[in-house]
Amino acid sequence: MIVSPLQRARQRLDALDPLAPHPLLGAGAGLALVVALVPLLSYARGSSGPLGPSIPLFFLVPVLLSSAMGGLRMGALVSVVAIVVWDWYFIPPLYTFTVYYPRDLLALVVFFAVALSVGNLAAAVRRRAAEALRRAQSAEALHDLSLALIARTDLADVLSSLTARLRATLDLDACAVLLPDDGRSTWLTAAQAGPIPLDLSVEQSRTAVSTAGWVNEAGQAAWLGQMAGAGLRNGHLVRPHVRQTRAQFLPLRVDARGLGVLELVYKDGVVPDGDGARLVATFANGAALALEQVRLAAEEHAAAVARESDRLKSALLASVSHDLRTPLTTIKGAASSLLQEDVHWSDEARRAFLVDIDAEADRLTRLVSNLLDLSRIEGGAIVPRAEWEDVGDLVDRVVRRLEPRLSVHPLVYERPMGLLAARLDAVQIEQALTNLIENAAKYASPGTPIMVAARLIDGAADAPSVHLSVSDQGPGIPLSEQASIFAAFYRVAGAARLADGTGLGLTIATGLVVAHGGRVTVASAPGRGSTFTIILPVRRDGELRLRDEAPLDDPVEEGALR
Amino acid sequence: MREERSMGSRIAVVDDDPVFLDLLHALLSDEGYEPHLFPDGLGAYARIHALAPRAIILDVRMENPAAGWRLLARAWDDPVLCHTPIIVCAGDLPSLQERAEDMEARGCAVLVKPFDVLALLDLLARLID
Repeated sequence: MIVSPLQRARQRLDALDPLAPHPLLGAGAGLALVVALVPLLSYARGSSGPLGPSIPLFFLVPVLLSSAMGGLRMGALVSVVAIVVWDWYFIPPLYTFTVYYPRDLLALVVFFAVALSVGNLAAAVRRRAAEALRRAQSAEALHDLSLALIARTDLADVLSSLTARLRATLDLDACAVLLPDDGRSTWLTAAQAGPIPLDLSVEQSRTAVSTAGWVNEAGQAAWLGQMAGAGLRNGHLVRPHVRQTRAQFLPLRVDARGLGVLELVYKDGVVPDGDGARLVATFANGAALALEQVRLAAEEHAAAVARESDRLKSALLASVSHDLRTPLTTIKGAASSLLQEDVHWSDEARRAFLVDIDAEADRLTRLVSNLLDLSRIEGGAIVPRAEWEDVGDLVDRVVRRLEPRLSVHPLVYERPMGLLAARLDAVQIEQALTNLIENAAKYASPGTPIMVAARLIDGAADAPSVHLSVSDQGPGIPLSEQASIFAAFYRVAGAARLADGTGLGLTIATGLVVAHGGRVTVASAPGRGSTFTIILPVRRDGELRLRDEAPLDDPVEEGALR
Repeated sequence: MREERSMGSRIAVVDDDPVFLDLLHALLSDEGYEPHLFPDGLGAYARIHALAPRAIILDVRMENPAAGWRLLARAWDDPVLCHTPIIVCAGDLPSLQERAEDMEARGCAVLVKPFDVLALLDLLARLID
């Protein structure tokens, strides 16, 4: 298994035990040790004589222990208990709190002072260790953040690892990145770590939505919490104030552009300060940068698409101007020749000119109507009106309509096995199939058959799809030109010699099929023929199925089938 | 029969539109020329070279956009054809503008479609003289 730097960091972080003080544990351990020292020291006194000045040294041990584990206050508590115990058991007169000798009183005072300063040191060491660990954790979190940003992984991935890290590092209840939903005044949770209470969730709470909106607009942080104190008290107006902060909303901004909001839900109203606040700010910056990066990438993509579309438009314009101007030249030329008064044309020549005008006018008509179709397809104006159709019947209709016109090519239709029902716009798919069959008929030599087949391809690996294929035994298409033939106005070298055409039929067919979410493929061997296939994807669960297998318990499907 | 002296001059016409070729054939024959028609750029170069015509009428945009320009470039480099007047016909203004300097330097005549075929005949007569 490959473990990404992000995952590794997360695992490391999870394994860390935050070095928080444990007051109860510290006090308990110290007191237990004090109690244990009593019989131990009593036994030592009994066996080896008076211990005198070394006793306080023994009692420093529990003080040190409880200070280190539980903090200074617990250390002080344990030192007071140690003094009491020491006095009772070991300072004469024994088993009283009375101190007989002044030197013993001095010893007690000095012990207390020493115990406090030692405890203070131990607690400080402990605090520093915890702080160092927090810093290390922050540094690690920041390092991972920068890695995530540099790696340009998926935005959702970056944001979710970021929120998880922030929540773990600051011990938050929850943490989320909120994004404005474009065009509407709603908000979405793009990434979330920990459960966000309903009344703080932008999906559930109006307050959360308006707070997020304000923070994003104003670029300032806002706090949400339990409000208290509104009203009059002792004759003075008391402004409402946040008694306990529950959540903080931070703007995610780059160059004064509001990109989203970071929401932090605090555990028991504990708001991080100092290093914690700096860490929050750094994470907010990181999240903003990640969002900005995605926004810039989207903008760049849009610009690239626009550039490509400009390039295509100018190429198209060049083709269109040529294809429109050529027939116009011929029509104009033939007409002005006929109108020449000083030339007397024979009847045959006059008729030839008229035939030219007629043919070129037809060509212009065809070109203009194809162009209109194409512009409707490319402008997205063609929206398939999908109905349940039997694909076998659809192909049959096309074949029967074309047969009389394609008398020199036998049309061979291989019907699908069983009934093949799919949701599609019959008029558009018929048009696409017609264009493919007409293309085949144009270029294949007379007498050679054109094979049409409809099949359901349902492999285990691929999504099921309907394949409508048209095969001819024509000249084929050189491999180097197989990609270009789908472009508008492109015609294979030498194609003009074989047939008249505008180079738009395949483009239009492809546009219609693409509007259905499908594609058109070509397989061709020069000299042996070509097969064009319309591939229409169908969903395994209902967009297409064999009609007799349709479930009857689904009212929508049932209605659609009837 | 306006131009007796052009009688029999071989003219190569390269265009992908069969109807346009048909029309030019009628008009050029009527003017007394001997038109030779090439419906596509593919292989036309070798045949035009062999023909060594008095002039070439070339549509630069045929079955694929570059075919005409390729033919033009080869004709300019050809020892037989480099002095043959070439009339470039095109409907595709952007690519004409791109190559305008080149064509001016070579003394290429340019007609932008749709043009008056009678103007084409006048131009042809002047170039051959």
